[in-house]
Amino acid sequence: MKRTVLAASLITAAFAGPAWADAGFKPEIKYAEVNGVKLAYYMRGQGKPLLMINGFMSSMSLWDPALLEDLEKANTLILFDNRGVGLSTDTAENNTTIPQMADDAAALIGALQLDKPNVLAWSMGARIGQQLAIRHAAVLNKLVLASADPGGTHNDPATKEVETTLNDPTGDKWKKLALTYPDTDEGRAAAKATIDRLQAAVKDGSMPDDFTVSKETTIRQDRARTTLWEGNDDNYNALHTITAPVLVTAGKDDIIDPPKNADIIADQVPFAWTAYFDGGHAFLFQSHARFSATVNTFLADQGN
Amino acid sequence: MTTCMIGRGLAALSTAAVLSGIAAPAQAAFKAEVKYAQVGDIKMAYYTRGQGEPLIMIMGYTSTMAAWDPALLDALDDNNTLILFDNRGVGLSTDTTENNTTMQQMADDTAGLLKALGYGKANVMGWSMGARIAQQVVIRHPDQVMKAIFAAPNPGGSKQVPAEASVAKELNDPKVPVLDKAALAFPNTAEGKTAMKESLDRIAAARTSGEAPDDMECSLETAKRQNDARELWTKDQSNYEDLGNIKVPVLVADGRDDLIDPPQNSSIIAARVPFAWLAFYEGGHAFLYQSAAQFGATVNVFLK
Repeated sequence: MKRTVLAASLITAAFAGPAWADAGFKPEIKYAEVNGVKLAYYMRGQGKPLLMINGFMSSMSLWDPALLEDLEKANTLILFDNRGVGLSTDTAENNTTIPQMADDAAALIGALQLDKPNVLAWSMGARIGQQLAIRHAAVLNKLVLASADPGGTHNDPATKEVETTLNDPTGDKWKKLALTYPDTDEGRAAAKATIDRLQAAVKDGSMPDDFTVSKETTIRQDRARTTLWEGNDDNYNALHTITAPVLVTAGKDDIIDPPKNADIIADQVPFAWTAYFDGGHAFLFQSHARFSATVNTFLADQGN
Repeated sequence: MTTCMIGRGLAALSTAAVLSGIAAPAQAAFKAEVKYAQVGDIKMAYYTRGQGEPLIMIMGYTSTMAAWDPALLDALDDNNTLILFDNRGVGLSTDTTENNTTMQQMADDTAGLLKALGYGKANVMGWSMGARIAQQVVIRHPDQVMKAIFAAPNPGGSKQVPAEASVAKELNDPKVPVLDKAALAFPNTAEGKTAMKESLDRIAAARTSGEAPDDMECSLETAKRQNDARELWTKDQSNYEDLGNIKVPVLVADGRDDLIDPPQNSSIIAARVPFAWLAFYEGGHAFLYQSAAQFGATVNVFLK
């Protein structure tokens, strides 16, 4: 039986190409105990490990499948839920800070015995990614920041109106998603394409049905990413100590973490690369092919 | 997943077999065919190589079109029609009796050459002094440029970070042997020395085989004119000011150990040009020779 399936698959693969095989991918969710919480994760793809840290209110399922398909050809993706998000647990007391979530990510790398993975971090995840490179330089290889913010007094903030819509824990999640694409016909079409791909992936089982974020976690994350992150310049002041090669990326029309933040960060991190793309906060979904080609070029060995 | 990998492996194997059957001999057979175009009062020597969108490559101080590292051209010519030429007074290109050599004039020459060859728009890459010219091409002739790459550039005026005095003195001294000057363009390490030797060997072999033109001469008069042009650049603030108005996509790239135009210059330019990409590589001023494959890959992604 097994051999028949294998032969049939080979024939299909030969004619239909990898798309058919990708559609057959089923995530196998596992759990790792770190820092008093249980973090849910799964892996996908082949190549060097690439840990992907997601942002505010976002589970490991809230990555555009098109981006994952681009990246998984050259990287073993490790996707996980931050503490309190989706299938990961949280402690009773509120320990949620950006540095704490960076410690969680470092502990996850240790628990999975990943050998100096590359890290791709988006939005609030890119704040965690900066802290990971600052607090745990030894655990990672290269770092890609997408839609990042340096924190403190040095950031270029979103407008009040955008912040209010984004941070409303009772707000409509599709309205929030709309903020991450340009308010143009092209942007709206790109948003719809992402949603369609996500829904199709959940339906065919290639993406975990894992989107729930409790009100409590939302409030904890909001405090971590606004009140605490903007409360001091510790992160900004430590950026120059980063030793990992860093690529800072942004969407040219990002209204949540405006693209100027990328320049501000790149100006501090020694020899940081920068790249800008069409799109808003979710430019890495809208411009997934060009973004992932840039990421793969940056991650390729160059002797450092 | 296993079947998928096998399927991909087979596909890759057969593709590789087909490619090696066609591409390899064609590559080896390439011979540079030098042609001439009348541009204003001068005759400019050039040749083209490769396929795809036009990419005009502007050379640096006292260097000819035969001084490009074949490894770099190899990395670029699958996706780009490279236009390689001699700046006025260099190698096979003529110059006027009176000295009109400035960065602005050489930018006008470059734009004039593109027009003479019938290219409405082209991608533009400049290296070293050529990157100063390329900035002026973008600023003075934006309608002729699709995207631009500044490799080891310098913004001019008071914002530039100059080479250390000892480096500048050696570079500008006509009595210092050319090989000693070449050594300044690579890191002063065992690895840098090896990279330099390999580059020079490739350039010499290409000249012998006819892959590059036999064109290495630069008169003392031209060297002096170019040197004067570089001094004018240092006194002129306008290039830096005008960088802020650039509308075309720009990639700024440099070697982390560049002694001639220190890498801070790249950060300064990238911070000034809206949405500029920025990338750093292993190597010195000639990082694009030493890290040809990775730089070429970045350029190809950027130009996509």
